[in-house]
Amino acid sequence: MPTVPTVSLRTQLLLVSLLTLSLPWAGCQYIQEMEASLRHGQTDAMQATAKAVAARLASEPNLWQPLDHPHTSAAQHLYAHPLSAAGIVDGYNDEWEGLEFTPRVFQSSRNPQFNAQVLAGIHQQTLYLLIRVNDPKLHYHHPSRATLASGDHIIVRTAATDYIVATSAPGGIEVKYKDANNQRQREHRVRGQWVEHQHGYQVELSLPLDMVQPIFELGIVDHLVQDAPTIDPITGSPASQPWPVDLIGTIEQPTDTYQPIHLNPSNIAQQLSAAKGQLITPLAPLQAATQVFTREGIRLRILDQQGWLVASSGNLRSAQVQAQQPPWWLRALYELALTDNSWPTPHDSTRDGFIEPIATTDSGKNNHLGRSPTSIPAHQWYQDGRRQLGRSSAVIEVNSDATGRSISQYPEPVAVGTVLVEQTSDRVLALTNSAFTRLFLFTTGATLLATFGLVGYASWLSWRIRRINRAATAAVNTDGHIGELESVWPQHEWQDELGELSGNYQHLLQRLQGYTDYLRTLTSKLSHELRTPLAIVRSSLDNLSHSQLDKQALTYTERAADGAERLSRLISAMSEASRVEHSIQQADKEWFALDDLCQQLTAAYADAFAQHTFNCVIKPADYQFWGAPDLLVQLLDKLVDNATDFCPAEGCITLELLRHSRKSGDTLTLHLSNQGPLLPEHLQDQLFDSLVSIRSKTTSSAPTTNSDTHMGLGLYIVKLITQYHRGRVYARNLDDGSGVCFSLQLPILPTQEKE
Amino acid sequence: MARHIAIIEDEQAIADNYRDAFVRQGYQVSHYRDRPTALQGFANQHHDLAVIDIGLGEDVEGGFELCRELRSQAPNLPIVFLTARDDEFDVISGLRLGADDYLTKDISQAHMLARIVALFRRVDALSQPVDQEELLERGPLSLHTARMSASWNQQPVDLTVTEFWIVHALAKRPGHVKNRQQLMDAANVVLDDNTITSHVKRIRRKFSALDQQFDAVQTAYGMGYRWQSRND
Repeated sequence: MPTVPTVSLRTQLLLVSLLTLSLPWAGCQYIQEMEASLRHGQTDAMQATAKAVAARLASEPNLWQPLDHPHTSAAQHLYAHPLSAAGIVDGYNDEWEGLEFTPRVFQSSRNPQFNAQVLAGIHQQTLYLLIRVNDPKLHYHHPSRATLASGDHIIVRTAATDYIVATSAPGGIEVKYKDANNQRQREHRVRGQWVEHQHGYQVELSLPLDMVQPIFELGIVDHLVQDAPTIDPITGSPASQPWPVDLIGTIEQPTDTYQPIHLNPSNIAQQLSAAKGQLITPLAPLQAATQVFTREGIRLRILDQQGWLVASSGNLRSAQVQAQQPPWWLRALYELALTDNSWPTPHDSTRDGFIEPIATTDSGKNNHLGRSPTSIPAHQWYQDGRRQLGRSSAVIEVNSDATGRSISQYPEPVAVGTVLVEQTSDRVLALTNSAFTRLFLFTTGATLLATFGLVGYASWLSWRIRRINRAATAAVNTDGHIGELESVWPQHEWQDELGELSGNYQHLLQRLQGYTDYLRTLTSKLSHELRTPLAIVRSSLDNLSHSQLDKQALTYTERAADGAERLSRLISAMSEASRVEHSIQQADKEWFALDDLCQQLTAAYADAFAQHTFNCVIKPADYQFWGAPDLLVQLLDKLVDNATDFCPAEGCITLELLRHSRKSGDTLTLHLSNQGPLLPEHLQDQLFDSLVSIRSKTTSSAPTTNSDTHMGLGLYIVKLITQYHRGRVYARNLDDGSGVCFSLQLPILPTQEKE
Repeated sequence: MARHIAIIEDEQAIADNYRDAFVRQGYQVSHYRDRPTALQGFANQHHDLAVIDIGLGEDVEGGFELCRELRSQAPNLPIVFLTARDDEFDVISGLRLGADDYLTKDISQAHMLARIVALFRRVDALSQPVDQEELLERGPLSLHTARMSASWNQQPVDLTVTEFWIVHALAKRPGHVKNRQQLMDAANVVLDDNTITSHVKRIRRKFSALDQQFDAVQTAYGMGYRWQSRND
């Protein structure tokens, strides 16, 4: 039984060719390794640079001293961002909004509605301040009062003096102070604007930088009660009762741990002098110093002791890398294949003014304060959007005695600042990109080549095998005859195993052919050979019967003659098949009426087999047929022989004839059914092969001459005659299980249509 | 005078058996084992009938060859083929060579003798004028029973003895169906149905060669054959 392969050779080799996908995987692994090692190299270089810069800075006191803030903590600093253009002092925060700086927030614990946000910026030695105060009730300064400020005001304390920023109405501010002679003076160097907003007021100030160094403090005062007696906070004469006044941030207070204080005027001064506010600005000398170390693609940053960003130079762009961008799909593939690092995102220092090393668990608190230099890790990679950023830090260490601190007897290195070196991985990326591109192209090419090669080879192999298969199938017909082998067998000039297989197969089929030929002609040869000795026996017996014999000898002679007779019939039956084949070859076809034939035959059978009932049912139609009537008579004889042998006495045998009209042509169908035992299901196809006999001699009618010479040839002859007429014959059990029906289909071929 | 029968057969046992049978009937018999000796024998002596086995020793077609040569020497000699083969092809080629009949070795002695007698009678009848009483006429068919000759529309039809007897059996009772067994008996042969069929086919062909419209021998399917002349 031929089977269709479910997993053909081609599929199998296609699956095998998928093994070549291990190539790109190995390549990716390699590229990952390479990238990692390149990155290490880069890291090492960055660290070396950072250390070099740190050493350089540490060796020059005038460079590192501004970094050192031994007496103040980060809470006491206000960071002034570097501005690229001069601020417009109009009280509005238009130009500040675009810059996205993080303001410093001050809260009053007594009154949560009273808070302020402070922004500071530096441009060319001018400090710009934006102070936005949320004050539920505004009290303006009453100009007629003697005091400097009788309403809400801001105190700016510098090393020289305290300045009061107050106004009687929104608009320009006159900044006043009390000079040495206790005279009210106006400070012209400070310009400011006061603007009201929905929740309070906003002040924008600009003042020269040298005014606010080295000390800078800010105090925001909320006058709670109008017309309460005020006192000059500077001179601080004692008051009889405490002021109802709210003072925010002296900058030293961390905003969320602000302790409410009851203030009296003297208190303010004290508070203020206890504060040690300082303004942190970018330092130009450092900037210049670091400029030396920059090169393309590297950004240097200097952080002071509290982590404030005081110098930055260089940028991360690398022009040469920009030009080599690979196509977008390749980059996407690259990212898919190679990047699997889960690096943190870097902290944007430009907004806050300091570098936060890593997002820590307590990043909610204290986010306005910098970190100590030693808390920043020596090296870290960050994922900044689509590229990676590497950051190396080196601590600027100087001897403790040089800093003026006496920590211990032994001079120990003190960290006064940090040098950060940042570089993107663009250059490495460029290298690995190109390597990846080449890897991708090569492995794709190799994989495709391997796949096509293997699939093509598989196709060729399976074509060869199929050719052998087809030749073998074609060589052996359904009834076991082996046709011409030489013509259909593919030449086996191939030197490999398939050629060997093909040759062996052909050899096998040839031997089989020879054997089946021998078997087929065996019967006729045998019968032929047997006739001569049989003739001798019979003729001798004939002669014997004529000579003088006593009664006993005569009996023996008769018995011998009977035996010879049976032998003769056997031999006739044996060679019958080949005789039928011969007669089929010699047969002539003619036009005859099939229904006529059937009717005459049925009558004849009814006479011959009297113990069975014969019916003939013919549907009216045209039954002219082009065929050999003698052969069909023989065919029907054989079928009826079969039927009568299996049908019990008084049983019914029916012959039915009808004509089917179909698109492909008409067919005359003949059904011969008999009552009796059913056919075994699995043998229904083999029934018509020669020498297959499945008789069970249960109900045998009167023994015919052929009943003991059955060699299973009857149905084989039926098949031969059917094939001669290009018809089909098949046997099946009747639906009601009462017996068996043999059906013969004879096609009326179009060329034979009688006009 | 005893007729001289020549048996050309390489199987000694069979030949001896036949010889004994023929001698018992009063014939004179000569036995030749192969072709050269047979030809020599025929050259030396006169024979009245030849019984030839087709397969003579290694020479498979030897019998046919011999028949051809004998026929060329003596056109009127009755020749009977005797063989174990019964293929129709052999039958045809045997008869085309001019043999008068073709018998299988299965044949019983009685049948064999009947054949021989008939053949001798025919030879005798051929040398005598036509006797009207022995003529059987059915329409265009005319059969001379003694001579065993047939003619159709006054044209002679060359039939073998077996064929003649079959036609005679059919034509004697026109319209009656004769089954194969009856035909076999009439022809004094034991043949299987197929050979009867091929004999009938050959009869039809021989008559059709003379007359395209010949359909006097009709098949009654399952029963046998009958003679139905158009004029009846």
